Amino acid sequence: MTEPIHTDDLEPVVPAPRRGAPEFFEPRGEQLAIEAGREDGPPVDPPRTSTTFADITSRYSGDRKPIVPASLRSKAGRHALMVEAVSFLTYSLAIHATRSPKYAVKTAWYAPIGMFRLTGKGIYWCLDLEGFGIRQDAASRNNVADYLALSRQRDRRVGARAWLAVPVVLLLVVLAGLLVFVAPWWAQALAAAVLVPLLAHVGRPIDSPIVDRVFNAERFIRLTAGLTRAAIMACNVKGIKDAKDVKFVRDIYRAGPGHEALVLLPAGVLATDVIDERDRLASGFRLPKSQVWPSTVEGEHPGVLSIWVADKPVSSMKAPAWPLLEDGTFDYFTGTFVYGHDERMRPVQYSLAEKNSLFAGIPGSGKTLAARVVLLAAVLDPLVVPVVFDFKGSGDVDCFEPLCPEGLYGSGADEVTKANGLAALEWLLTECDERAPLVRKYAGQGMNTVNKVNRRMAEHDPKLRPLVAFFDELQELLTDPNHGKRAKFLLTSIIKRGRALGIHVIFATQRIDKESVPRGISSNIALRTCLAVTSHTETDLVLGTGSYARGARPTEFEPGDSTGPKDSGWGYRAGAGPTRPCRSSYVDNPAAERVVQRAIEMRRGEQPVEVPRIALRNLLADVRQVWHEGEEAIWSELIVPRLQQLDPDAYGDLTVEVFGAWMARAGVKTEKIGRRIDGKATTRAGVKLAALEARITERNAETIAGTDLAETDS
Amino acid sequence: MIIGYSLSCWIHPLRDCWCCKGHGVHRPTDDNGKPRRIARPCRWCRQTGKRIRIGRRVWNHFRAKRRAA
Repeated sequence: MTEPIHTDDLEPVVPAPRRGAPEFFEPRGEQLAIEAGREDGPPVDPPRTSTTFADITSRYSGDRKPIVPASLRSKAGRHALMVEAVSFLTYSLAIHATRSPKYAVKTAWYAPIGMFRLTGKGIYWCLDLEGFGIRQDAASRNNVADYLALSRQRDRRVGARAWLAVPVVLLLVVLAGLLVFVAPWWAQALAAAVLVPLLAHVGRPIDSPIVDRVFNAERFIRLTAGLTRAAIMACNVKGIKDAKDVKFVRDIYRAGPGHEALVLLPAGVLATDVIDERDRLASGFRLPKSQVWPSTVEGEHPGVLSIWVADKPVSSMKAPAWPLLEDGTFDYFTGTFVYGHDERMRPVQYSLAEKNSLFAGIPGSGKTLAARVVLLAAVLDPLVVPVVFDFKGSGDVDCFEPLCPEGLYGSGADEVTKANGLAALEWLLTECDERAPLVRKYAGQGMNTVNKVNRRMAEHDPKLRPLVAFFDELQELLTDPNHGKRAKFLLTSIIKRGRALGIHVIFATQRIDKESVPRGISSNIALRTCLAVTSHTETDLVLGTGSYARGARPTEFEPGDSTGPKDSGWGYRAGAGPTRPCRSSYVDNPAAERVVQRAIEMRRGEQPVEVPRIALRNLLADVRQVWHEGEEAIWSELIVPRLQQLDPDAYGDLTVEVFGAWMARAGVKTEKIGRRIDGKATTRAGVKLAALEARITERNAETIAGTDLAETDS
Repeated sequence: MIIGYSLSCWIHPLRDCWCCKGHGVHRPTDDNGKPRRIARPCRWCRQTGKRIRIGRRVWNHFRAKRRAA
């Protein structure tokens, strides 16, 4: 409660108020000498306010702890609690019953030792032998005065203790005699049942309990202010000299399966200084590193540190199963799905609409499986069309093959897969071209208030179905000497334009540098997940500049190997709220196949998008390939059979009209070309070699310029 | 005998001061042999009346030397 300010402590503000006007008072020492004609501006200190009743009541208006615990409020909860307790007791009793002979032998062995030990302790206490050492020390220092003083103290103590010890010993002797010679058998048995285990407990070695442990629970420590201060001091952070300088924003509280302390570090010390020393912090808590999670606090100043200490190592906690594993659907446009969980086992949500995703990490970090979770959720929207290319060829995404349209699935590290992947990118860019006017048209018709694809449009027009393209080990394509530059150009364009057109691209790459993840690509991707990496450079490249300085530490995750998954799947995720660590849900191959099977059943076997194979080929290059030497111009009706011979699958159904349309889209319009056949002049549509070569050269230049521009943007 | 003497020095490290005979003070006598009223403190035992035994003193000396090394 604040002290009341008396009017004696107040002085009238100069100048004095006029007669009749209200007087204003101000405490002494808060006055400013104001010179006439001088303006000093407003006062620096805010005005004093008194505490109101509302201020007091609002302090207690927060969430209230329930009086009855949640487990006891429902019948099912009470029943579950009872079943758990009975199960625990039954199991413990069974364990101890089977080991009771061993307990009896150990008790019989340790009880006499305990009796001698207890007697020795009594004598030790009675003769004040605990002061023997200090008396000897005084003698060793040749300090006669101290020795005599200590001896006198010993004599006084022994005299006093003897008055208590002698009657107690006599009483015990009498009781023992009565128990042995007079007492009935049941009293003897009762005394033995109480005393013998007690003596055995005293006589056992400190590290050898008589009763076996039933449960080997993980180590748990209660997080206290003293322990937290000691752990922070153990970090040896410059600027923290005294443990008392470490304050707490609020009480330490229970948060998920652990406790959280919000720490206010001394002025000038950053939370990241402590986060950098996570090893020392864990050592200070005497806990494994995976049990100690320091982090910055969103919305607070950089000196506020959150330390979350788990009840047991997070790696040993049972991760919740992926909620969409057995049932459930997903809405690409408005829905979110559970991607995984954070260190407190809270679900982490993920949404796809109007975004792209990037997963980066060193081999073994679990990026393919993490990205696969996203793709699995995506295909649970029956409108979504997946496009999948795995340039590693490990088969992790083979389960998606039945869902992908023909030509939009590839798996392998060979040249054919790379060429097909590039063709798929070309097709995606073409889709961007075709979708934009459609979106504008449907938005104009009132299907959406903005020029973006929504569910209504996608259901109305199959051409606007959302596309989710997944490219695993993308660095293989981007660093390819033949396709790399074109792929970068295409990707940059698709990422920039496809977002609003219902195209979501997921990249996974293990090589994280400017060559493999150009800024033009990474900076335009909203959802970035950085799994285990080796240094802060990769962290900043994936999550954005300054992420490492703000506390993101994917460098501390250990990639999985043959010995176990370790921190596989753990990563820092940016783009959806604060950058926080999270782990993707684990979905193994059989489970993924079951999810894909559900997705196929949702689609009732129909393929939503038919991709013309011609779209997956480079038409201009193919026309140039079938061009014979010495020909200046060729009719379309002569080119089409040659193309059909080149790739019957792609060009088998090609007609002259369709060829003309595709050539026009590729930038080469067919022209009327005259020929004299049997002396008769005939004019038909065809292609001139000069126009074709000019367009090919122009396109190559566009690709190079576009790629350079993308790199310059970064 | 050495062991017995060492053990006794460990358990009872003090003996009476040889100078004041365990009184801590020197009380001179007059011509009749009566102690005078003014007593002089013993400077050997600093008024404690006790001194460290020789055996203990030797033991302390060697122990201190070993610890210093």
